[in-house]
Amino acid sequence: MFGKRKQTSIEMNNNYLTYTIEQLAADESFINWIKTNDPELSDQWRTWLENNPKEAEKVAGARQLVESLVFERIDGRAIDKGALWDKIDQSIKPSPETEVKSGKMGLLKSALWAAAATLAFFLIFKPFAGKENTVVAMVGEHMETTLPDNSDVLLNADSEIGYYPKKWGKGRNVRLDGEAFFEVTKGTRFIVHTKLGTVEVLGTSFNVLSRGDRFEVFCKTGKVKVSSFNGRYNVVLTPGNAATLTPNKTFEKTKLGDDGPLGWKAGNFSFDGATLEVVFDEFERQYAVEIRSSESIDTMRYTGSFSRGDLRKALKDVTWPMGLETKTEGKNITVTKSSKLSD
Amino acid sequence: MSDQQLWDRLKSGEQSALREIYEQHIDFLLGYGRRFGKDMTIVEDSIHDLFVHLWQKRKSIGGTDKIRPYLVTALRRRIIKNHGNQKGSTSDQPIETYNFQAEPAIENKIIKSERELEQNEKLAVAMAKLSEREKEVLIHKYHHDMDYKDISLVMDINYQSVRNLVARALKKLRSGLQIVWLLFLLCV
Repeated sequence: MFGKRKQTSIEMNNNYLTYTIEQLAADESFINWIKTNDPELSDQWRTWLENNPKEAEKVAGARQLVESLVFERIDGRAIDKGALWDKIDQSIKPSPETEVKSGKMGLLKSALWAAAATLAFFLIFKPFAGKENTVVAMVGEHMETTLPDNSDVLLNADSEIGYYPKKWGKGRNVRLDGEAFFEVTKGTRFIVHTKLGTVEVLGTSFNVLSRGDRFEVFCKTGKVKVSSFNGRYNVVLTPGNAATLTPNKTFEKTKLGDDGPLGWKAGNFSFDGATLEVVFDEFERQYAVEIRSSESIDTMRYTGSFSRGDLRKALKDVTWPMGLETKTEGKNITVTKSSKLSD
Repeated sequence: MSDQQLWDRLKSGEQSALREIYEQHIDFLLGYGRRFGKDMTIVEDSIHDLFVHLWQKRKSIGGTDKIRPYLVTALRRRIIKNHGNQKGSTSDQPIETYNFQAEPAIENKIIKSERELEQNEKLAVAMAKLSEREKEVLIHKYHHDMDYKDISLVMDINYQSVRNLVARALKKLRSGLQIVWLLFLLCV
């Protein structure tokens, strides 16, 4: 562990009243209370709860979250630590070459060694590429950003891209987690790196989706090269075509027409026989709500679309054709089978 | 002895200090390293190189009062690079893509009810759906008790990104867990 948890007494400020469950669950003092049960902290939190009885539900939710964040320990017992140390010990035994000799030559040599050492230090301990620049579109928001080469990126909700401004000159590399549409200016190779594969272009526009096990690339203009993570499978896309990573890790190519999956850019989300789990997932992402349903509902297949903007209308567009009823409480939506239709 | 003193001893060339640092942190480093993949030779080689480097460059390294974040940062970079090399990627991987293993501790718990069992399964499913970075950030925050500043150093992303990552990961986990609550209510 990284050292003892701070046991400082905390000011029970009123800010906690505006916290969401997630913010509370990420609060250091709150985590300490749940994890250590420190009596002083306990007192403070209990008193606060007594003064703010309405917060009980929030505290319960955050508590559940923190308590579930206990991870499987992975230890290194399988490794012979003594043998590993012996290997290190062998490697650091001074060799004749590194011995500093006296005399002019020695001085020069040691100066060179010092310079090399300093350089090496920067290589291991200093991020030589500088900090990564990260652009995030949170749940419920879309985000537009321009890269150093004036390429434009439109991020769908709950998506993130990252790149190193200081490395940009050496190659255009972007990391993506989520979904984004790229309009790349003409120039050198431009590569999008995702968990499951890479997308390589020179200058064109294309859409990349990388969420969980899904990796889908759509080419809008120009030419796009898609590769699996290990580089074993490659496919080149021309406009209107899409590549989808299949469960056996190869690519399936499909012709989707001009706009393919790009409806999301204008706030339209279309589905063709998708499970409601997938549809609700997208819905939650676009409207920053939480949908509760049952497994028998999640597995139903939906063909249709919803738009971003009017939550109630969008919800109806999804649930009404499926004979489902909804109940909305704040950010929580409960979906049930319509009592009239169920057996 | 404080980290600061131990570090100073290392810088002044005491080999016993390197040994002490090794002993204090090796379990942690091995455990953390294994989260990046099953191949233990990569973890072993990376740790070997890290300590050899630390010794060879001891005179030029900066001071620190917190040794572990330094070691974790350096090890993480080596492991990701070595995994990348093994996959046969050309030159050095410009952007980090990696696998990270973080599973909720379920086996150690005594399961009291059907509901709890179901809850645990949902938790495992929700956790598996997180991105590698989301999983790693949760491990650092809730398992390693690191603060945002150290996480930012180790994962090489800025402070605000760390906070965003945590918020997103928690949100995803919570929606995964809530479904169980509803089922529970329906069953009663």
